[in-house]
Amino acid sequence: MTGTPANIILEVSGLSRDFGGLRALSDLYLNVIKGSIHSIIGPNGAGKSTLFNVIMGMFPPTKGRIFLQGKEITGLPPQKVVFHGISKSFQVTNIFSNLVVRENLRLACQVMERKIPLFRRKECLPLVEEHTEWLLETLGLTEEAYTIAGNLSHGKQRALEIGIALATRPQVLLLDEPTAGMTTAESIQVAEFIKSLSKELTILMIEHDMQVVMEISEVISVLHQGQKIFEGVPDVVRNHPQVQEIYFGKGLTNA
Amino acid sequence: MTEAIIIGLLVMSLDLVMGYAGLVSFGHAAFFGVGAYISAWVLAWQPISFPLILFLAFGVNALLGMVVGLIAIQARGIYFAMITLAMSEVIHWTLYDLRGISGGDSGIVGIIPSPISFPGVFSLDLTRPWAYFYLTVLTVALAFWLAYRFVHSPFGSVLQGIKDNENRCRFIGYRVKKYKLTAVIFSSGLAGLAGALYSPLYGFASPHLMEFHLSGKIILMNLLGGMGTLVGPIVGGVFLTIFESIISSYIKEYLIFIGIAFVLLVIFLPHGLYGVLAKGWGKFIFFVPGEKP
Repeated sequence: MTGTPANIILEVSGLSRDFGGLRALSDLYLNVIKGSIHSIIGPNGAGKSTLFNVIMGMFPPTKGRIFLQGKEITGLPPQKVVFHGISKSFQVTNIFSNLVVRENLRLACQVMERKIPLFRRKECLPLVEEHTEWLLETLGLTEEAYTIAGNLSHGKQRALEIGIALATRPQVLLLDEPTAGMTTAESIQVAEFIKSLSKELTILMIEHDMQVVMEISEVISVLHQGQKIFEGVPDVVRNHPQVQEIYFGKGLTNA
Repeated sequence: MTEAIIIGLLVMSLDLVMGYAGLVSFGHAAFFGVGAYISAWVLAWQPISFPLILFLAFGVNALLGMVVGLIAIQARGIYFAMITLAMSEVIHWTLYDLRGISGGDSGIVGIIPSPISFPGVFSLDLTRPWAYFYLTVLTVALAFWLAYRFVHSPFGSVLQGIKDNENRCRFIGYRVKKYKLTAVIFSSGLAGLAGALYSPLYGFASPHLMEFHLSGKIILMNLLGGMGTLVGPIVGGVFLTIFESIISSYIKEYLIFIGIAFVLLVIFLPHGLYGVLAKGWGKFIFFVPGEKP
């Protein structure tokens, strides 16, 4: 039992993670409000990806606890954390590149079935089929449904990447640089897409494209050297002197 | 021919783990050998109806596969192969040393298949080569059908996902080890089934059946037949067994030619024999994995 208020869906409390002598995360506190788009920004090595990896259970924290909808998920491995209603898309595209697009999504949808049949036909799960079709449509991948995923364009692979994370029906979606390597036009599309998703779920994302961040985020947390140095709405964050110092160097604030 | 089909079944059983789950087992000869001994032992003790023996061989080897699998799936890639190799050698030499039950170096000879019998209804004498051939074909067809359903099921699709991207499978929420273990169990059961069919054919079972060079040979046969297709491995097993037996009856140094044939096949038929067959006979009926449009 925690004192988490009802509108906080994800709570990170006093989280630290060391890699040998290096402290990647240091006593980090973070509250994510249900239904919001919450961005995490910060320079390289600030601990953003480490934070995601610890939440997803890729490795346990050195110290601290994580709560999802009031339930503790600290240290649970990825294959268990998913069933608490959270999933993550990867910074480096991590899809099933030898399978067709539809199968990528179908496979991910299927995990939520209680029983996975051993000898029946692959298409025997009506809910999975329905959800897969819905995803293909939402992601705009219907035409490419039977394309080998590895042959998709970069932009479409990124969409599929998010789609796989979405397929497990999370309440909280972690996006690790969803617009990585995209053109400006593609980034805007993805931003729109993320915004449309936030009607139904909570999004916590790491993003370097400031335009996207400022445009769609409701809350922005600034990480630096494993600590949260500031948090606020986009306009406040943009003008905060410490943030400017980290992002643009000292020169600009003095000028 | 009967022998070739049995080897085809053995190669197909390997394909379940190698071609679908991406686990290269270097120990399938052990399951084959244990299956062969189960036939030998049961037939010497009590000639019960032969299909029952086949079931028994499947079951015992599935259990054995579970033990080996539980240990081996803790490792990945080459380490998985090494553990399966080590464990199959343990089984091989344990049986070799238990002379009382295995016959040691010379094995057990004079195994005669029991008839298929429903008391009072009918009885089929399996000592006739044709009868045994039909039984083998039927058994392999049944095993193929089961395996086909298995790999094309929702469960089997997870195995292919694991082979393609194990890490992502974990992040989607699959308990990867459970899937791998099931594949190993099913696969080793089928390998045992192949063994149980093999020993009554020539009337002998010996520890030599479990030597690791058989494990290696079926890996090659799987690659050459067309890994990850189920049909390919059967084709590869059948074709290469026949090829070997024909050429070895003409030339003493036949292994050189088999070696050359292997090299040529790998260079010119990257999708295996099955890839060629599938191309010729219509891509729409058979799917060739890995083939890029």
